[in-house]
Formats: sequence, structure tokens, C-alpha cells
Amino acid sequence: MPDDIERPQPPASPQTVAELLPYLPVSADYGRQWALVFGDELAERLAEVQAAHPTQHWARPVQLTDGRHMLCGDLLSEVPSGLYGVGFQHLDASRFDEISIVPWAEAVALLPQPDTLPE
Amino acid sequence: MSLAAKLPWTHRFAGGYGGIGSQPLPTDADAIDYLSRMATADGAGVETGVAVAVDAFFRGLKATPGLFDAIKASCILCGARTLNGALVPMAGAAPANNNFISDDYTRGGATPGLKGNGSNKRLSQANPATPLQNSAHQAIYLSANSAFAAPSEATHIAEWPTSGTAGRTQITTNTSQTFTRCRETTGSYLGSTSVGVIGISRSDPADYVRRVGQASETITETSTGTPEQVVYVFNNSSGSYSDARLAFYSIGESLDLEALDEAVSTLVTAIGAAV
Repeated sequence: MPDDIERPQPPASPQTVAELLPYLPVSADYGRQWALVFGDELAERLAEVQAAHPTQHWARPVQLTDGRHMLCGDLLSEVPSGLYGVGFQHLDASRFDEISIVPWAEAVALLPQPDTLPE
Repeated sequence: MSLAAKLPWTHRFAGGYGGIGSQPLPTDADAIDYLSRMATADGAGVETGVAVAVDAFFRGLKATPGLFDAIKASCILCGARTLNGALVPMAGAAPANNNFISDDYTRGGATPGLKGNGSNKRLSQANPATPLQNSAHQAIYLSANSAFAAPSEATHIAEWPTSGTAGRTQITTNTSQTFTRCRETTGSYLGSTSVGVIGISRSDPADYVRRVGQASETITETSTGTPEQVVYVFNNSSGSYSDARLAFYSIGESLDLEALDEAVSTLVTAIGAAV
């Protein structure tokens, strides 16, 4: 069997994680273009799942200034069977359409500003 | 580099065999223990060239009295075959990985290490020793500096109190400055920065030593407290994330920064040449 068969390419402008499920794992470079953004309920569910299945690798969201939670899209290069595969496999796949994909720069603009250092 | 140096250090012919050269193998018991744990995490032993460099590193640390024992938590973020292997601690507990992926890790070459993204990736771990107010150190090996220009900055390692500012301990840089605190409140800027080892060490209530660019200076700032036991690498508690690439970090009690710099710099250079 030839080993140079090209894998199908993920969409150029995905809207939710559900659209990317057939393409996982995506490449790290593809994933770095995106942020995964979701609400409080999914953030709590993610924490519960990881607490129930602890590993050394934690998908740890940060809260944006608009109240939503954000993970970096390159985590999708480590699922379903990479560093974050354990927790991923215990998530409810039917809710992946609730995780929005937004351009990384847009999400970074919503990160809280760190305390400034003394002058 | 010899063929033998490319064999896994656990290979039966790693020490030498006719036609592939010969070389010494690791002998330090702590180095062998560390390399064995790394091999389990990686799924295979590192090349003998890497293992010998790690062995020399451990022996070098032990050659300076008090140096090895002052390191309470540390990871060598290069050399290992995978990120899992790189997160095996050479001292203390293993850190928790928050959001780093395999592609963030470069095991060798000119700029090895783990690269932050300046936004949400960090390592966190408990300091296994109760932090002391007047005996403390933090050190990193900065393979590639932050791209943040002043007034933005990247905090590479920090151990802060749960609340307030007394006893903060951190190493922060941007493209033109270095900022450090060592068990204190105010902190001190250096109007330059450098790749390589950056370290701070306090053994006196009145001042501490800062080492940047292979030069040490004494910073006269009184210690003001102790931090909590959670250490963040690539981040502090207030959201200043690092986008730099780090090949080593350590925390613990006060130590000889010049000796640590020499040992770590030699290690990173040797690993970079070996893989």
C-alpha cells in the first residue's frame, strides 16, 4: 500500500470542533491558527472529565474578558490518541458543535492583561 | 560523532564493539536513575551521546559542594526523545503540563527546548520543599528569548505568594530587559538580557545574586516573605506568559550560580551536538 496517499485537508474556515472530527489529529501548524472557545458549562465538564481521568497533560482553558473560555487549537494535534487523548475520549462528542473555532489572533485580543511590572 | 554515540545508551553494544567505536557509559547512580525514568517515558533510551552528557552534568553538579542538593525541582527540557521524556524531573516532582503539545518541543540542535506561546501554555508543579525566605534560587536556560518588546514582558518562571507581593520570586524578560525578584516585593530591572542561563540566588536577607549573560551582580533588596509552594514555568500567577524557548529550569535553595551556569551550559551544548 503506498504511503504517500494524501490525507483529506481540514476546512479552511471551520466553525466548530465537530467539523474537524474527521480530520483529527490535525497538524500542529493548522491547529495554531485557531482557538477553541466555549462557555462555562463545557469548561466545568472539561474539568470534571480531566479530574476523573488524571494524566500529566491537562487541557487548561483560560477565561477571556468576555467570560468565555479558550484553549489553543493546536491541542487538536494531540487527539484522539496523543498527549490529550485520555480526556478527549471521555468527552461527549455530541457537544463538540458547542465549541466554536475562532482565529487565534481574535482570541488573544480577548485575553486578560497581566499585571504590569513596577516602573 | 561515533556510531556508538548514536546507539541508545541501554543498547548492549552502546559501550563499544568492534567496528563501531567505544566510549564510556553513564556511571553516576542518580544520572542512571534519571535516564532510566526518561527511557520509560520516551519508550526508548536516549542516544549514548546524550546519556553521557547527562551523566557528566550530574557529576559536574556534585563536584561543587551543595550544588546538587540545593536543586529541589528541575527538568532538563532537551535531550529526551519526546515531551513525555523531557517532563521527567531530574529532581523533585514531575510538573503538570498545561496545553503544551509535542510540536512545541525540540530535543537538540542549536536552540533546543520547550517553547511557550505567550498566551496560555505553562508547566506547574509543587515545590517539594517548604520555601525558605533567605535561601532560594531559580534558574532557567533561555535558548531563545521572548519576542515581546517593552513594556510587554514574558515571565519564564515564578513562585509567588497566594496573595500580596511579599516574597515574590521570578525571572522575566522582554527583548531588551531582564526583571527579577528573589523572595521580595520590589524587584529589579537589568537594562539588557541574554540567552543562556539566567539565575537568581539568595543566601542573605539583605541581597541576592543575579546572573545574566555569564555575569553575576549583587542586587541589594531585602527579602520580604516566602511564596506558596506552586511553581509556574512559562507563567506567573497574574497572566504574564512566556513565548520563549527554555531548555532547563530549576528551583530550590541558594546555590553557586556560576557553577550551575557552567554545568547547564555545557549540558545544553553537548546535547545540542549529540542529536
